[in-house]
Amino acid sequence: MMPGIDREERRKKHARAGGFIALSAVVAVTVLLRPGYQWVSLTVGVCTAIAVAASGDLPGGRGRPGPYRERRKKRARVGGFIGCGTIIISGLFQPDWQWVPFAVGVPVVVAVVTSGDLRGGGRRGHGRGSGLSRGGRDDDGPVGAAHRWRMLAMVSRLMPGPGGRRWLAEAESLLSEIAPAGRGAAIRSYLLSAPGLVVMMWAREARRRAQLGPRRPG
Amino acid sequence: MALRLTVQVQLVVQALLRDPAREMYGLELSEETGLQPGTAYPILLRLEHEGWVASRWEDIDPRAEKRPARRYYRLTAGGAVQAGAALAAARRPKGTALRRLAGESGTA
Repeated sequence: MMPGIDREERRKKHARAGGFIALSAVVAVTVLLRPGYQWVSLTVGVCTAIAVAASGDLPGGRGRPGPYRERRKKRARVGGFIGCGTIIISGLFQPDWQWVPFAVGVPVVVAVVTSGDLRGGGRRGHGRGSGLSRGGRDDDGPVGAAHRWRMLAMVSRLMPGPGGRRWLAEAESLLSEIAPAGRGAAIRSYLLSAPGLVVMMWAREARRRAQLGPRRPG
Repeated sequence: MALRLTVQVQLVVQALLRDPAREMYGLELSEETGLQPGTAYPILLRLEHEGWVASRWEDIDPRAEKRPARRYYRLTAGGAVQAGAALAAARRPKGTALRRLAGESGTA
Protein backbone atom coordinates (compact mmCIF):
# COMPACT_ATOMS: atom_id res chain seq x y z
CA MET A 1 0.00 0.00 0.00
CA MET A 2 2.71 2.41 1.04
CA PRO A 3 5.96 0.93 -0.21
CA GLY A 4 8.17 3.67 1.25
CA ILE A 5 6.82 3.09 4.71
CA ASP A 6 7.09 -0.69 4.42
CA ARG A 7 10.71 -0.45 3.33
CA GLU A 8 11.57 1.87 6.17
CA GLU A 9 9.73 -0.32 8.68
CA ARG A 10 11.61 -3.38 7.45
CA ARG A 11 14.95 -1.58 7.67
CA LYS A 12 14.07 -0.56 11.21
CA LYS A 13 13.25 -4.16 12.08
CA HIS A 14 16.49 -5.39 10.55
CA ALA A 15 18.45 -2.92 12.64
CA ARG A 16 16.52 -3.84 15.78
CA ALA A 17 17.03 -7.58 15.21
CA GLY A 18 20.74 -7.13 14.46
CA GLY A 19 21.21 -5.07 17.58
CA PHE A 20 19.33 -7.62 19.63
CA ILE A 21 21.45 -10.53 18.37
CA ALA A 22 24.74 -8.71 18.94
CA LEU A 23 23.73 -7.46 22.36
CA SER A 24 22.42 -10.83 23.52
CA ALA A 25 25.57 -12.57 22.33
CA VAL A 26 27.83 -10.10 24.11
CA VAL A 27 25.81 -10.24 27.34
CA ALA A 28 25.57 -14.03 27.29
CA VAL A 29 29.24 -14.59 26.56
CA THR A 30 30.80 -11.97 28.80
CA VAL A 31 28.44 -11.81 31.75
CA LEU A 32 26.25 -14.87 32.03
CA LEU A 33 28.40 -17.66 30.64
CA ARG A 34 32.04 -18.60 30.67
CA PRO A 35 33.53 -17.62 27.33
CA GLY A 36 33.64 -20.74 25.19
CA TYR A 37 33.15 -21.21 21.44
CA GLN A 38 30.31 -23.67 21.82
CA TRP A 39 28.40 -21.15 23.94
CA VAL A 40 29.04 -18.38 21.43
CA SER A 41 27.55 -20.36 18.55
CA LEU A 42 24.65 -21.58 20.69
CA THR A 43 23.86 -18.09 21.94
CA VAL A 44 24.12 -16.48 18.51
CA GLY A 45 21.99 -19.24 16.95
CA VAL A 46 19.28 -19.12 19.58
CA CYS A 47 19.20 -15.31 19.57
CA THR A 48 18.97 -15.19 15.78
CA ALA A 49 16.08 -17.65 15.77
CA ILE A 50 14.27 -15.71 18.46
CA ALA A 51 14.92 -12.37 16.77
CA VAL A 52 13.60 -13.58 13.44
CA ALA A 53 10.53 -15.08 15.10
CA ALA A 54 9.95 -11.99 17.18
CA SER A 55 10.35 -9.49 14.38
CA GLY A 56 7.71 -11.08 12.17
CA ASP A 57 7.97 -10.23 8.50
CA LEU A 58 11.72 -9.67 8.55
CA PRO A 59 12.60 -12.06 5.73
CA GLY A 60 10.69 -10.70 2.73
CA GLY A 61 7.76 -9.02 4.44
CA ARG A 62 4.56 -9.16 2.46
CA GLY A 63 3.06 -5.83 3.25
CA ARG A 64 0.59 -4.92 5.91
CA PRO A 65 -2.77 -6.62 5.97
CA GLY A 66 -4.24 -4.12 8.41
CA PRO A 67 -3.34 -2.39 11.65
CA TYR A 68 -5.52 -4.50 13.93
CA ARG A 69 -4.48 -7.85 12.51
CA GLU A 70 -0.86 -6.73 12.56
CA ARG A 71 -1.07 -5.76 16.24
CA ARG A 72 -2.72 -9.05 17.17
CA LYS A 73 -0.06 -10.97 15.29
CA LYS A 74 2.67 -8.99 16.99
CA ARG A 75 1.20 -9.64 20.44
CA ALA A 76 1.11 -13.38 19.76
CA ARG A 77 4.69 -13.25 18.51
CA VAL A 78 5.88 -11.38 21.59
CA GLY A 79 4.05 -13.82 23.86
CA GLY A 80 5.74 -16.72 22.09
CA PHE A 81 9.07 -15.00 22.34
CA ILE A 82 8.73 -14.45 26.09
CA GLY A 83 7.76 -18.08 26.65
CA CYS A 84 10.56 -19.33 24.43
CA GLY A 85 13.13 -17.08 26.10
CA THR A 86 12.03 -18.19 29.55
CA ILE A 87 12.46 -21.86 28.65
CA ILE A 88 15.89 -21.33 27.07
CA ILE A 89 17.24 -19.30 29.97
CA SER A 90 15.79 -21.76 32.49
CA GLY A 91 17.44 -24.59 30.56
CA LEU A 92 20.81 -22.89 30.46
CA PHE A 93 20.91 -22.32 34.20
CA GLN A 94 20.15 -24.68 37.04
CA PRO A 95 16.39 -24.70 37.55
CA ASP A 96 16.50 -23.00 40.91
CA TRP A 97 13.83 -20.62 42.16
CA GLN A 98 16.21 -17.67 42.27
CA TRP A 99 16.64 -17.92 38.48
CA VAL A 100 12.93 -17.83 37.68
CA PRO A 101 12.43 -14.04 37.93
CA PHE A 102 15.59 -13.58 35.87
CA ALA A 103 14.48 -16.15 33.28
CA VAL A 104 11.10 -14.44 32.90
CA GLY A 105 12.37 -10.88 33.28
CA VAL A 106 15.03 -10.92 30.58
CA PRO A 107 12.72 -12.06 27.73
CA VAL A 108 10.05 -9.61 28.87
CA VAL A 109 12.52 -6.70 28.82
CA VAL A 110 13.95 -7.79 25.47
CA ALA A 111 10.45 -8.25 24.04
CA VAL A 112 9.37 -4.79 25.14
CA VAL A 113 12.51 -3.23 23.69
CA THR A 114 12.42 -5.10 20.38
CA SER A 115 8.71 -4.84 19.77
CA GLY A 116 8.80 -1.03 19.75
CA ASP A 117 5.45 -0.27 18.16
CA LEU A 118 3.42 -2.86 20.10
CA ARG A 119 1.59 -0.20 22.03
CA GLY A 120 0.58 1.74 19.00
CA GLY A 121 3.30 4.34 19.34
CA GLY A 122 6.83 3.10 18.83
CA ARG A 123 7.86 6.65 19.47
CA ARG A 124 10.14 5.79 22.33
CA GLY A 125 12.97 4.67 20.07
CA HIS A 126 12.78 7.73 17.87
CA GLY A 127 12.78 10.43 20.49
CA ARG A 128 9.92 12.20 18.78
CA GLY A 129 6.67 13.66 19.90
CA SER A 130 3.30 12.57 18.72
CA GLY A 131 2.18 13.33 15.21
CA LEU A 132 0.39 16.41 16.37
CA SER A 133 3.11 17.96 18.47
CA ARG A 134 5.76 18.49 15.86
CA GLY A 135 5.06 22.06 14.95
CA GLY A 136 3.83 21.32 11.45
CA ARG A 137 7.13 20.01 10.12
CA ASP A 138 7.06 17.72 7.09
CA ASP A 139 10.58 16.33 7.36
CA ASP A 140 9.87 13.38 9.64
CA GLY A 141 10.01 10.94 6.74
CA PRO A 142 8.13 7.73 6.21
CA VAL A 143 8.69 6.39 9.71
CA GLY A 144 6.89 9.33 11.28
CA ALA A 145 4.16 8.92 8.72
CA ALA A 146 3.85 5.23 9.69
CA HIS A 147 3.34 6.17 13.32
CA ARG A 148 0.70 8.68 12.40
CA TRP A 149 -0.91 6.09 10.16
CA ARG A 150 -1.41 3.93 13.22
CA MET A 151 -2.89 6.92 14.99
CA LEU A 152 -5.35 7.31 12.11
CA ALA A 153 -6.49 3.73 12.65
CA MET A 154 -6.94 4.37 16.36
CA VAL A 155 -8.81 7.64 15.79
CA SER A 156 -11.17 5.95 13.34
CA ARG A 157 -12.33 3.76 16.22
CA LEU A 158 -13.62 6.83 18.01
CA MET A 159 -16.06 7.47 15.19
CA PRO A 160 -19.36 5.63 14.72
CA GLY A 161 -18.64 2.28 13.00
CA PRO A 162 -19.47 2.85 9.32
CA GLY A 163 -18.34 6.48 9.41
CA GLY A 164 -15.00 5.55 10.92
CA ARG A 165 -14.44 2.76 8.44
CA ARG A 166 -15.25 5.03 5.53
CA TRP A 167 -12.98 7.78 6.85
CA LEU A 168 -10.09 5.36 7.25
CA ALA A 169 -10.66 3.74 3.87
CA GLU A 170 -10.75 7.10 2.17
CA ALA A 171 -7.64 8.27 3.99
CA GLU A 172 -5.88 5.05 2.98
CA SER A 173 -6.94 5.49 -0.63
CA LEU A 174 -5.76 9.08 -0.75
CA LEU A 175 -2.50 8.48 1.09
CA SER A 176 -1.55 5.67 -1.26
CA GLU A 177 -1.68 8.11 -4.18
CA ILE A 178 -0.21 11.20 -2.61
CA ALA A 179 3.49 12.03 -3.12
CA PRO A 180 5.65 10.75 -0.24
CA ALA A 181 6.81 14.28 0.57
CA GLY A 182 3.28 15.41 1.27
CA ARG A 183 2.11 12.28 3.04
CA GLY A 184 3.10 13.42 6.53
CA ALA A 185 1.25 16.71 6.17
CA ALA A 186 -1.80 14.94 4.76
CA ILE A 187 -1.95 12.47 7.66
CA ARG A 188 -1.48 15.35 10.08
CA SER A 189 -4.37 17.20 8.47
CA TYR A 190 -6.56 14.13 8.85
CA LEU A 191 -5.61 13.88 12.52
CA LEU A 192 -6.18 17.58 13.16
CA SER A 193 -9.63 17.52 11.63
CA ALA A 194 -10.54 14.27 13.41
CA PRO A 195 -11.86 15.72 16.72
CA GLY A 196 -14.38 17.93 14.92
CA LEU A 197 -15.31 15.06 12.67
CA VAL A 198 -15.84 12.71 15.63
CA VAL A 199 -18.17 15.24 17.26
CA MET A 200 -20.01 15.85 13.99
CA MET A 201 -20.45 12.15 13.26
CA TRP A 202 -21.67 11.28 16.76
CA ALA A 203 -24.04 14.25 16.79
CA ARG A 204 -25.52 13.03 13.54
CA GLU A 205 -25.66 9.47 14.84
CA ALA A 206 -27.41 10.68 18.02
CA ARG A 207 -29.97 12.59 15.93
CA ARG A 208 -30.53 9.53 13.79
CA ARG A 209 -31.06 7.33 16.83
CA ALA A 210 -33.38 9.88 18.41
CA GLN A 211 -35.46 9.89 15.23
CA LEU A 212 -35.65 6.10 15.31
CA GLY A 213 -37.01 6.27 18.84
CA PRO A 214 -36.27 4.09 21.87
CA ARG A 215 -35.49 0.45 21.26
CA ARG A 216 -38.12 -2.01 22.36
CA PRO A 217 -37.04 -5.30 23.88
CA GLY A 218 -37.88 -8.40 21.88
CA MET B 1 -28.50 22.74 10.64
CA ALA B 2 -27.70 25.19 7.83
CA LEU B 3 -24.36 24.88 6.08
CA ARG B 4 -21.91 27.65 6.94
CA LEU B 5 -20.23 28.82 3.76
CA THR B 6 -16.68 29.37 5.03
CA VAL B 7 -13.85 30.18 2.64
CA GLN B 8 -12.83 26.50 2.58
CA VAL B 9 -16.37 25.38 1.84
CA GLN B 10 -16.56 27.95 -0.95
CA LEU B 11 -13.32 26.63 -2.44
CA VAL B 12 -14.65 23.07 -2.49
CA VAL B 13 -18.01 24.12 -3.90
CA GLN B 14 -16.31 26.24 -6.57
CA ALA B 15 -14.12 23.32 -7.61
CA LEU B 16 -17.15 21.06 -7.92
CA LEU B 17 -19.17 23.74 -9.71
CA ARG B 18 -16.57 24.22 -12.42
CA ASP B 19 -17.96 21.11 -14.09
CA PRO B 20 -20.98 19.89 -12.11
CA ALA B 21 -21.26 16.67 -14.09
CA ARG B 22 -17.67 15.71 -13.41
CA GLU B 23 -16.82 13.36 -10.56
CA MET B 24 -13.80 14.26 -8.47
CA TYR B 25 -11.94 12.24 -5.86
CA GLY B 26 -10.37 13.51 -2.65
CA LEU B 27 -6.81 14.06 -3.88
CA GLU B 28 -8.00 15.77 -7.04
CA LEU B 29 -10.19 18.09 -5.01
CA SER B 30 -7.49 18.91 -2.51
CA GLU B 31 -5.04 19.69 -5.33
CA GLU B 32 -7.57 21.90 -7.06
CA THR B 33 -8.56 23.80 -3.93
CA GLY B 34 -5.15 23.87 -2.26
CA LEU B 35 -6.72 22.42 0.89
CA GLN B 36 -5.20 19.55 2.82
CA PRO B 37 -7.15 16.30 2.31
CA GLY B 38 -8.01 16.18 6.00
CA THR B 39 -9.60 19.62 5.71
CA ALA B 40 -11.53 18.80 2.57
CA TYR B 41 -13.03 15.56 3.93
CA PRO B 42 -15.28 17.05 6.66
CA ILE B 43 -16.47 19.67 4.16
CA LEU B 44 -17.41 17.01 1.65
CA LEU B 45 -19.15 15.04 4.36
CA ARG B 46 -21.18 18.09 5.41
CA LEU B 47 -22.07 18.82 1.78
CA GLU B 48 -23.16 15.21 1.42
CA HIS B 49 -25.32 15.41 4.55
CA GLU B 50 -26.95 18.54 3.14
CA GLY B 51 -27.69 16.68 -0.09
CA TRP B 52 -25.55 18.94 -2.24
CA VAL B 53 -23.05 16.23 -3.06
CA ALA B 54 -23.33 12.54 -3.82
CA SER B 55 -20.45 10.12 -3.50
CA ARG B 56 -19.63 6.57 -4.49
CA TRP B 57 -16.73 4.16 -4.26
CA GLU B 58 -14.91 3.51 -7.50
CA ASP B 59 -15.66 0.06 -8.86
CA ILE B 60 -12.22 -1.38 -9.55
CA ASP B 61 -10.11 -4.36 -8.61
CA PRO B 62 -7.48 -2.84 -6.30
CA ARG B 63 -5.01 -5.66 -7.07
CA ALA B 64 -5.26 -5.15 -10.80
CA GLU B 65 -5.02 -1.38 -10.52
CA LYS B 66 -2.38 -1.59 -7.77
CA ARG B 67 -4.13 1.09 -5.74
CA PRO B 68 -7.16 1.24 -3.46
CA ALA B 69 -10.51 2.34 -4.83
CA ARG B 70 -11.16 6.07 -4.82
CA ARG B 71 -14.24 7.75 -3.48
CA TYR B 72 -15.73 10.02 -6.10
CA TYR B 73 -17.82 13.10 -5.35
CA ARG B 74 -20.10 15.09 -7.62
CA LEU B 75 -22.73 17.76 -7.17
CA THR B 76 -26.32 16.58 -7.25
CA ALA B 77 -28.75 18.41 -9.55
CA GLY B 78 -30.35 20.22 -6.63
CA GLY B 79 -26.97 20.72 -5.00
CA ALA B 80 -25.57 22.49 -8.04
CA VAL B 81 -28.44 24.99 -8.00
CA GLN B 82 -28.23 25.54 -4.26
CA ALA B 83 -24.44 25.79 -4.31
CA GLY B 84 -24.50 28.34 -7.12
CA ALA B 85 -27.06 30.44 -5.28
CA ALA B 86 -25.20 30.18 -1.98
CA LEU B 87 -21.91 31.18 -3.60
CA ALA B 88 -23.54 34.18 -5.25
CA ALA B 89 -25.07 35.19 -1.93
CA ALA B 90 -21.75 34.77 -0.16
CA ARG B 91 -20.02 37.04 -2.63
CA ARG B 92 -22.66 39.76 -2.58
CA PRO B 93 -22.06 41.25 0.89
CA LYS B 94 -18.35 41.36 0.18
CA GLY B 95 -18.99 43.43 -2.97
CA THR B 96 -21.37 45.72 -1.08
CA ALA B 97 -18.84 46.20 1.69
CA LEU B 98 -16.12 47.03 -0.83
CA ARG B 99 -18.35 49.56 -2.58
CA ARG B 100 -19.23 51.14 0.77
CA LEU B 101 -15.55 51.31 1.68
CA ALA B 102 -14.75 52.85 -1.70
CA GLY B 103 -17.57 55.38 -1.15
CA GLU B 104 -16.30 56.28 2.31
CA SER B 105 -12.76 56.80 1.05
CA GLY B 106 -14.14 58.91 -1.84
CA THR B 107 -16.07 61.23 0.47
CA ALA B 108 -13.21 61.53 2.96
